[in-house]
Amino acid sequence: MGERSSPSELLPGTLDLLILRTLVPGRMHGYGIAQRLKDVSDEVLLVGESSLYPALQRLLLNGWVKAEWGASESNRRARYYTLTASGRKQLTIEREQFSRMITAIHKVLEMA
Amino acid sequence: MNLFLRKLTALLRRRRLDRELTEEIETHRALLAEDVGRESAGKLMGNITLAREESRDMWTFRQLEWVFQDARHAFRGLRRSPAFTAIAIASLALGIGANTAIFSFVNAILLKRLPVPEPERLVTFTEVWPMSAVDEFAKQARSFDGMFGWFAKPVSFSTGETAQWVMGELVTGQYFRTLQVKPAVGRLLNEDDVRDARGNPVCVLSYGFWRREFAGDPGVVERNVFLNGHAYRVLGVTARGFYGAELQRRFDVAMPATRVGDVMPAFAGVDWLKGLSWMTPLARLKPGITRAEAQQQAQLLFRQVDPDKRRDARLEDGSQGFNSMRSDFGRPVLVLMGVVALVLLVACANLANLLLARAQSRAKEFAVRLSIGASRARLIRQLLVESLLLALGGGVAGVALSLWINRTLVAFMNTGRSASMLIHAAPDARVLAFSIFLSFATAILFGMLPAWQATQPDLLPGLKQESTASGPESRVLLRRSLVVIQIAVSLIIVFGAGLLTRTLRTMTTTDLGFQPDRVIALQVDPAANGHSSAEVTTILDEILRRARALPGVRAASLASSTPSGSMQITMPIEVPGYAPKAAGDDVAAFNFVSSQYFETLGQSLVRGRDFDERDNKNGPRVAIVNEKLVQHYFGGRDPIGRKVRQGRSEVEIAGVVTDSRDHGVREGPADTVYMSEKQGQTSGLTLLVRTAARAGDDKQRIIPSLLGIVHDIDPRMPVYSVHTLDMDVEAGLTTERILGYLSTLFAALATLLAGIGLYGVLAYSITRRTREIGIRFAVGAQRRDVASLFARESLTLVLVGLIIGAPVALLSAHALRSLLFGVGATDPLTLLISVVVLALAALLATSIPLWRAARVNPIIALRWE
Repeated sequence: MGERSSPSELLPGTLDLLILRTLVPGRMHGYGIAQRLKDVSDEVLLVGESSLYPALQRLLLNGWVKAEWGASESNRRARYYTLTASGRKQLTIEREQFSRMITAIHKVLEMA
Repeated sequence: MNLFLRKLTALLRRRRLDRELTEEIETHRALLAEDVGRESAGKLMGNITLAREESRDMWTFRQLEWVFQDARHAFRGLRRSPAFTAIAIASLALGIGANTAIFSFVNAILLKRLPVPEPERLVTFTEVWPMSAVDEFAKQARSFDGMFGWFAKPVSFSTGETAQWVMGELVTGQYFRTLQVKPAVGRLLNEDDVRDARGNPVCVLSYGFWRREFAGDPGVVERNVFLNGHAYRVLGVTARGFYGAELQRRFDVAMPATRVGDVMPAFAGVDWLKGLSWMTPLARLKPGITRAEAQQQAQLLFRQVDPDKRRDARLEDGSQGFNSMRSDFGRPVLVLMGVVALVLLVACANLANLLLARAQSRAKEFAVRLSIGASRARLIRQLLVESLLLALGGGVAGVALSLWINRTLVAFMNTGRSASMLIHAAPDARVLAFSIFLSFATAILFGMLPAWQATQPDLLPGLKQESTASGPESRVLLRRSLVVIQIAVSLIIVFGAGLLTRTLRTMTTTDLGFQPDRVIALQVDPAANGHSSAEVTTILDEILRRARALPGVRAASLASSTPSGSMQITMPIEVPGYAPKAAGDDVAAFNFVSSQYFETLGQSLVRGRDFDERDNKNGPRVAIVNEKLVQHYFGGRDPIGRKVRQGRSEVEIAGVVTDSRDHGVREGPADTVYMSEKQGQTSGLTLLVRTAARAGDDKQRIIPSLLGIVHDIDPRMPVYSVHTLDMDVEAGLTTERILGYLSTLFAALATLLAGIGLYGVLAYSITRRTREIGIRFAVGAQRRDVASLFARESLTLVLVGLIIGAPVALLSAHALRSLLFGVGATDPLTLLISVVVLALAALLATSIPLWRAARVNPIIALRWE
């Protein structure tokens, strides 16, 4: 089942969208994001570090999230990510794009 | 942009980013282990190293690192073909060097501004003003933040012992305020100093002069120095970097304008304050005031300040201060800039050609790389990096070359100028920026086309062995077009150089009407050393008498103006019975001379007599006029005994001399009135000495003797601008010489480059068709047949180039029109010669490959692969 969640099987760019969406309620560390994705998707989306952390770096670089160090629930030093204003904007854009894509895929699948 | 900045900061904090990422992943692993246990955690984690690599890549300039890789690769490649690299870098160095050197003059003459705060607020006026008008204007004008009048003249400087000539500036009170100059030590002149200077002479030294003469000793303040023999108290020294109100010259000492009598002792009777217009004004606009607004206010005010004058005050851009070179050298340097730009174009075409040939030999490498998946952009980038490397090499060598050219040219322009009058045109940061820009621009110019061609996907047949011998037809066409362009552009340069060279020839061979060789000129001004005017006459008479007695001296004379010298006096005259035909028709040149003047200069007396002892202060006033004046005013009839009036005085014509071109070759002889110096000007005279017409250099022997005579009479009296008249004549030809020599040099360079281009294309063409040549020989073709095959190819290229180039050359020569003399801008003979020169060069470039083609061995050729 690890294979299913590998990023190459997600639609390109989807991981960024999912991370951004996950961060909407508030700040979260990397492990938390992965857990949340797993829980919400009923264990369908399992994101490994090899794709999660590059994605987070990409978001940081683009200025869509910002990071700060803090203490986790179990009192460990963890890096917390927060959505920035431009990140919110990006989320809206990507959501729209994603819906368009899904609609398009649906159309292709439903064709006679 | 933001992304770029973030990457840039990341570059500086690479380690920290790395550490943080590692720590973060550790945390992740630990949290995972808490939830699912250690073992499954290891399994669940993906490829961590890959994650790190990927994240790291994201933060770095991957593209840039590739460029470094490419540069290393290109460098190795260039080192493997040293001949190609040397030719490429040398031709680029010549092109970029010439462009940078000429640009340093464009910069110094047309672009540079005075090194003072906010020079763009400075304005100059088109006219010279009386001193009182400047002061009045400065007081009343509301749109100005300071205004001053300025006048420069060499003065004799001494601290007590020997004297030397230095550059003096006479300025009004707001000089330093207007230019916003600060003192290095002491304080600077202000309005009170200038007003009170009659009784309390003070002066300010320039930083450079202070360092040179006083070794930067701050104790110089309050010391007394002697300027033209008068004691002046030093107030202070200007800040470093400020060198006066003139763009290309350096002042040594600034003096109050009210002390003009010390500087111009020859004109004691002149009303310097109100009567004479002699000061050039310069003002600083208040912030926010435009030149047009200031112009309006100035117009109104000008009428009040100077109601007698009809003229208007016209404001012009003063950010360059006073720029004496703009009018003389402005156009020539632009012309030269155009020429060197064309040379660079030819050099670029040449390099493009070389690179095309080089790319051809690497066709297979590219084909392989393209076929195994290299992107075209990647290959183009690699080739461009190679071009860039060449251009940088050429650029560095070019800048070094340009420094040398610049120094040589400045030295050439300064020959015959005394130290205080030197022109400065050293390159600055802007020149450096220009050369860097030029290097990049050329790299793209000559590199892009070959790179594009070489990586064309249709090259894939290049994988097949035999196609290297034939190559695509489009590439051959491109190389031929490049050669055609080179020939056409070279024709433009050669034609322009031809016109300028013929101009120089005409100017050097035109009869001046006097013989400047073997005439020594030197200025000695006893009045500038505090002697009274009666003493001056005695001293000058004594000098003249002793100079004539020197062995080896043919004749000697005094004169207020020397031919081709800078000082010329012109005044309107009246001749009874002659009505001037237009404004300015009645203006004649005046020269106050002593006896033997015409003998000294080699002009001959046509009628009447020379000046002699009769023509002293108390004798009847007489004049000698030239033939031009006789023709103009007397219709060529004998004028001896007739009268000429100048203002209130009247003189009788006692003699007629032949014409001479005293105002330079371009201007014909002027109507000239010669008068005895004793009946006119008695100071500011030049001593002229003609030495015997003997082989061997008399100058070296006679000049020290002349200086000895002067120092014998008064050891403190400085002698300045000791030179020979042919130096003056030469100085008048500086522009023409620079233009003639440099354009010829550049034309030769362009022709050479075009020749190399032609040679390259033919040689390539022959190599490409070696097998064909072999077959032709095998079936019985003669050497002549094969040679003519390629001769025709060469002839076509040259003809097309010349046919395209000729009309363009004729059109572009219009830009030279004002610089030409004795030859038209569309001179057919010059064009013919230029065509012949290029044709000969082409013949030379053709003959070597042709010779090789004719000697191809058919056996070897047929085995050619």
